[in-house]
Amino acid sequence: MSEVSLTGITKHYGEFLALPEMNLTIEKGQFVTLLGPSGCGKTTTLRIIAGLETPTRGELVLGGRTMFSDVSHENVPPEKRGLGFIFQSYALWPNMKVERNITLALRQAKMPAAEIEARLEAALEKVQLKGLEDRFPSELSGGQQQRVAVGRLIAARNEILLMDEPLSNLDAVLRTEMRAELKRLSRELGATTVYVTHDQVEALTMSDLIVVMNEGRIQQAGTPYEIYHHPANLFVAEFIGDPKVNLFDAELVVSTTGARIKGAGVDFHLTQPVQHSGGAVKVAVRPEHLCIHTDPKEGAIEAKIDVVQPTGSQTIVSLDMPSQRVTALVAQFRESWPQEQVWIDFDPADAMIFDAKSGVNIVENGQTATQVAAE
Amino acid sequence: MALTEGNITGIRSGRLRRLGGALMSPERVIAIIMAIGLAFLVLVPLLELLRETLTVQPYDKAYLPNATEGDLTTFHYERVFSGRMSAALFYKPFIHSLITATGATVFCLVLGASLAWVVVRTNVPFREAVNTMIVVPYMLPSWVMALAWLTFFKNDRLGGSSGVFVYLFGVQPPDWLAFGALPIIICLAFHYYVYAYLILSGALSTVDSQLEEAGAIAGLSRLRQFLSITAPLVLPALGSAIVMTFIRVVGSFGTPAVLGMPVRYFTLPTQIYAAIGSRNVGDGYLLALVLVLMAILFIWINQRMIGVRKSFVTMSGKGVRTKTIDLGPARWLVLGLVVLLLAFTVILPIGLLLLESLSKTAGNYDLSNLTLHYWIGERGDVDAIHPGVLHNPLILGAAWNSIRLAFSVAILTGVLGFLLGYVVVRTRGTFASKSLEMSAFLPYIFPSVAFGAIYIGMFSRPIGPFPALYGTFFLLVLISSVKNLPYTSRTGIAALLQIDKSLEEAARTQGIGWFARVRRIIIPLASSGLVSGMLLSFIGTMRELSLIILLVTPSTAVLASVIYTYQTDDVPQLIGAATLLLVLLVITFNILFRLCFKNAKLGFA
Repeated sequence: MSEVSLTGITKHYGEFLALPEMNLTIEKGQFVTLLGPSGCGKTTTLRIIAGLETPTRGELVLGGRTMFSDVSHENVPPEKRGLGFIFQSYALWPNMKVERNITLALRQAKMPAAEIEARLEAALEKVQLKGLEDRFPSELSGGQQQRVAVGRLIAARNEILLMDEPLSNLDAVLRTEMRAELKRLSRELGATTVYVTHDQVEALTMSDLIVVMNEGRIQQAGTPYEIYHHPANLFVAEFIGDPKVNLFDAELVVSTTGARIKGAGVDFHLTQPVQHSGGAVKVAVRPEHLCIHTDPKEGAIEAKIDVVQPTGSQTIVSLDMPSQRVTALVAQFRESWPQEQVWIDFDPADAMIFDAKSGVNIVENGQTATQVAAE
Repeated sequence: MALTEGNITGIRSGRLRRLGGALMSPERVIAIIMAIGLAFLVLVPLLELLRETLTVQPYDKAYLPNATEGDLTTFHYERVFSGRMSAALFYKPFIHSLITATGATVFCLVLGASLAWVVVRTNVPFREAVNTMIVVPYMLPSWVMALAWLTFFKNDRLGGSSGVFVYLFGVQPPDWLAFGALPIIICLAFHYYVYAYLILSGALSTVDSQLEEAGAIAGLSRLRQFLSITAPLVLPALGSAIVMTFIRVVGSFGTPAVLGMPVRYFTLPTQIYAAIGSRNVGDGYLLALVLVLMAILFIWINQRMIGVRKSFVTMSGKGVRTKTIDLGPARWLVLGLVVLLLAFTVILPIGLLLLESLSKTAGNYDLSNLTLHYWIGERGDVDAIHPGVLHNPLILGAAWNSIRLAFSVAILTGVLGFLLGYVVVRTRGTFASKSLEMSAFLPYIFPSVAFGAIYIGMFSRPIGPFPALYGTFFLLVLISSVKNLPYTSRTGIAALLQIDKSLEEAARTQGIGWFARVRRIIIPLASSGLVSGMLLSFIGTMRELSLIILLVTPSTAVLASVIYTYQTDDVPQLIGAATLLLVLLVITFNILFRLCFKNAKLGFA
């Protein structure tokens, strides 16, 4: 059963069209991430779900209840939607102690005192803030403030949780820690979670479903695996993956014997079936799929080692090719290469092929494609 | 052996040098000098005032035939608080001050808060223009409204000419409408609401809408969101708005002088003026002390009630977003009300004064009675005694004094503000920094008239190597600059805080000396903030009356004080013309400043 459903939701700010028609369905219990660069409409979408922004058109249904509809003129105010929300700034009320910050919603709902007490205890326990309930938010560290925001969510026990870049104000170590916490929280509460971020690592590590957005439009909705390995278009391919994907300009020639890619340094037969009649394409190869050879090899391209950056378990290698620069990721710790001149190649099965003009992925996806109806 | 000794001396001198270096860094030196200077200019006068209230003054000899001047006495305290004269000397003015100041403060807050809400939180049309319109009354002298009020409502109570009301309706307006508490409250409120507006709109715009949204998510209704989230957050600002408005209003001289003194409705400032004017300085100083204590008490109560968690408004500085409320068609109505307010506070008073200045005989507003005499006429034409303002040496001299004074004060506050800001910011966290910031704030607690009284007490005789400053132009510059310090230091600190320390450190590592650093890097970067602070001092000084009314002498008279003295001469035309001249000067210089420093950010204190 779908828990969150947006149908034909549009949002204008005056003349400016922030969200062209958006359709999105989220199943109960799913952890869904809206991912995209800033200004892509992901936060607007989240705020529309919460009721903090009113869409211009469309219909929004949460848990089977219509929250907004331009047809029936329904618009349930945010305070009546019963959602959990973590704000980017945490929005802790600075004039209230931790305890009140967590229990305000419960008191507002006229819950019995014993129940409030029990939930507060449980929430404090969970976020490890026991003993700090009498502090004011300004007396807490950034990480603790974040945990209060999480505690607020735990105590309220909402069916649907909305999170707006909740980790962006934390340092790297805390961020990794809280990432796991939030994923565990969502699972334990059995809640449906909509999570907004511009950080692909957060999206890949936490989500059941990633919705990649750009300029208000959904580019692709799919599992982390699909998004990474079968990006629907060039935007998704380039946006996901660090270091960035390598792109080569090439020509696709389709003949009776099969499809062949020819370009500067790349020349191979396609093993996968394509939906294309031939023409200019872009070949994308993930850095980890590039192999570096110290001896010339049939079909390999000449390149020069430029910069070598070991990151621990991996090493990022920048290489100069005559026409462009590429990046390879080697699964070992290397500080240097014995020689400057190397040869690189890749398995054609790992190549992703996009139409040069439209940017659409032309390789047929072996797995079920989840191209969203929005397009 | 010698080697060890040598080492020890080396270490010692090194330590000494380091100690010396720490003490002698430019910012420390300036900090120490300024702290001493401020103590001398603020604390010493206060102690001096206290001492004067406890000693026998020349005036008291009639009452205390046996005492010698300078003896310790509680005579003033007895007379002011419990003697036969106490009701007239103290209790009545005190009650009147409480009534007018409280009334005006409440009025200011209601007006300021509503306007702040409209500008920050609603989609009122032409928001920027509305914001500017609201602060225009700040540029006029506070008593312009009072003069205009009198022009309109003046009745036959005082003799002499009567006002527009009588001319239009042929009946005398009742005394309670022409003079006393009600008109004083209204005239004060429509000038001083600007402070409440500026403070509250500032606070309101730092309250993150996300906090209210989080309240909505938690199930709070609009009203509950306001009551339990927004209101507590702006409470500290509300507190400082109350304190600031109250202190300014209670120390205000011009308005109660124009609308109260003619009917012997005295407030503390006017009573102080009357006492000191009749050479009864002991009582005057004591009343000034009461005024200071009232202000301190007020600040203390505010601190006790809401000062504890003062700074939470600014807590989440990042990502503040403010959502505006759609007023629908009502927004045009709101705009209309703001325009009406401006008409009432600015256009109407100026129009009335202009009309007054153009009439041949006061009180007659017929077209046939119009004349330009009081602007450009020579003596003996329409009026045998008073030439028009542009031929009146007294007014022209006073205007020149006003401009000189305002310029000197602006420049001095600019320098002081820069030095204070630099020192406080660069030595942040040290004792020197804190005490300097504190003492720069001190003049704030002295109501203007009381501060003037303190300075008479202090500077009417020579102090050490310094000659008596009373009656000199320099004293006016000094007191105006010191009284401006709380705002000056704030703009200075704000301007310097924006300059990252690393900018100066980068220059330092390249071997650039202190003076060059300050001149080439710090001053250019801080100048835009400083210039706006200087403009504020300039405008403030041009229209200041309460602060210097006790200190001016005929040779140092400024436009504001001359206008005030004309009150007693019953030449309302000249008052109108001179006031308009002052307003014109303020506006002209304001525009000139803005043209000269186009990119300076101009705010209001």
